[in-house]
Amino acid sequence: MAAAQAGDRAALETLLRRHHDRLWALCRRMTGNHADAEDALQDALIAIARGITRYDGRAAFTTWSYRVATNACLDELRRRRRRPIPDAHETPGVAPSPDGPGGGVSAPPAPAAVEAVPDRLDIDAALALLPQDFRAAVVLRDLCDLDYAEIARVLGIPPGTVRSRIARGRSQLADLLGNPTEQQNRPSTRS
Amino acid sequence: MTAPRDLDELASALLDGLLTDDEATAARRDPAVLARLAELAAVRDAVRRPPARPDTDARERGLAAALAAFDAGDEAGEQRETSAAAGATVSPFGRRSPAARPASAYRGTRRRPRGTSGRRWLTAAAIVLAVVGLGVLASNWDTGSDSGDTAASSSDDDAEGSDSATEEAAESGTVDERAAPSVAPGGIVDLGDVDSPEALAERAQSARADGSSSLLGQASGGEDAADEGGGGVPLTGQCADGAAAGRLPAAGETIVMEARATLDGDTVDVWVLAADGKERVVAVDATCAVLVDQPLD
Repeated sequence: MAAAQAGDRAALETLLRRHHDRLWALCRRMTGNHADAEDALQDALIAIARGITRYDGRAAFTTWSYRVATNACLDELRRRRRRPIPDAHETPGVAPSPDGPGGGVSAPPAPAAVEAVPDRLDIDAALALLPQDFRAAVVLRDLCDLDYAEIARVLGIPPGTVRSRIARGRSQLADLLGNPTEQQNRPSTRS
Repeated sequence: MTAPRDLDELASALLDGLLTDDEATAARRDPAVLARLAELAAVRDAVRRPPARPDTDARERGLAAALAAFDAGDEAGEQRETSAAAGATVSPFGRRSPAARPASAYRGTRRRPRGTSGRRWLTAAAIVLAVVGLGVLASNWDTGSDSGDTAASSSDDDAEGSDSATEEAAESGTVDERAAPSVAPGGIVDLGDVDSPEALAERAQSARADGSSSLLGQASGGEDAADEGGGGVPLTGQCADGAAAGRLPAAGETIVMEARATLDGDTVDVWVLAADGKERVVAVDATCAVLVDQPLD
């Protein structure tokens, strides 16, 4: 880190490579598709490279880089002026199936109903239907494993709001994943 | 019995270990909480599952672009704070960083076309065309030349050169000075967080008083700029379905400042529009709803 901040290109490259995959995961879940995730991640990496000398270490680098990437993702979504569009090839459960309950089950039912819920629909398709505020909070918590205080810093909101957004986001996801018919019937905001 | 909203908050808090031992024990006695807990845990596990990895080429392009930006040092960017990479002063949630725009100059891959940025480039090119055209006309006037065709031809050539320079800059990572205005480093003013429309209007007014304005707005006097809606980027394309926002700016108005702010946690686009010596501030949210529309003193 210190070497990268001092202008060591090789050190920066090592740093970026080390953190690339987790930032990719964040962008992929936030944007919902590969193409937008690639664009957002590239913007994030560029922002990190340009801002590394100004990174003051008050937050962990991981947290800081998540914030950079989150902003990049939200910027990307704003530019698109729409909700994320999940990649078709990664939404196997979205395709209606006459064999499954609700018309959306393509995988064999799991022994426990609760365990089967996330398998019925692709998580990206469900995340795409969440408001961005909720989606960011849930992804930062459940994918990035940030604690509430860190998420509050990343999103610039009070911890109490983080708690509320995570709860409501998870709740909506659970409902969406458990009600594929309802999800498919919801109007698209894609423009 | 636990209310649904409380149920979700309770189950979520339980899932994240936010409850005290006593609270957790009490919560676990409620079958409804336990059932919701299981559902939320399943959701968490689904979100946590790693997504498909990017292909190697995309990964390497991204890294190469970042390293190119690092190498370039981004002298222009140092004059601006990048929202995403300004240490602890990172811009609030969701705000578009003005400094993030030049990053395109370092991108190692061609991004898909964006309507908004495309219009900005076209607008900038139109401005260059207008300015050069006026300059040539003035020059010809002074020298008594009657070669209007030459003036038009010259400006056309120059405009073409500008476009080429812009494309070359994007590909090579350098920014030609002729194309610099189109980058619009000060194009979007950061108004920060505000908690009310009134505060937003005050912030916009202060920014105007400080001399903040987009380069596009400053140059918006020519016919070409007027064709573009007064020099800025009209919302028509972005808010085709937005009843009010889709008609901004109004006929005869010039965009003199484009800004962004966070209003009650939501990012909004802010525009200061001028006509007949009067200015008004308009704020539009992500759904193209007009949140603020009031005159500036």
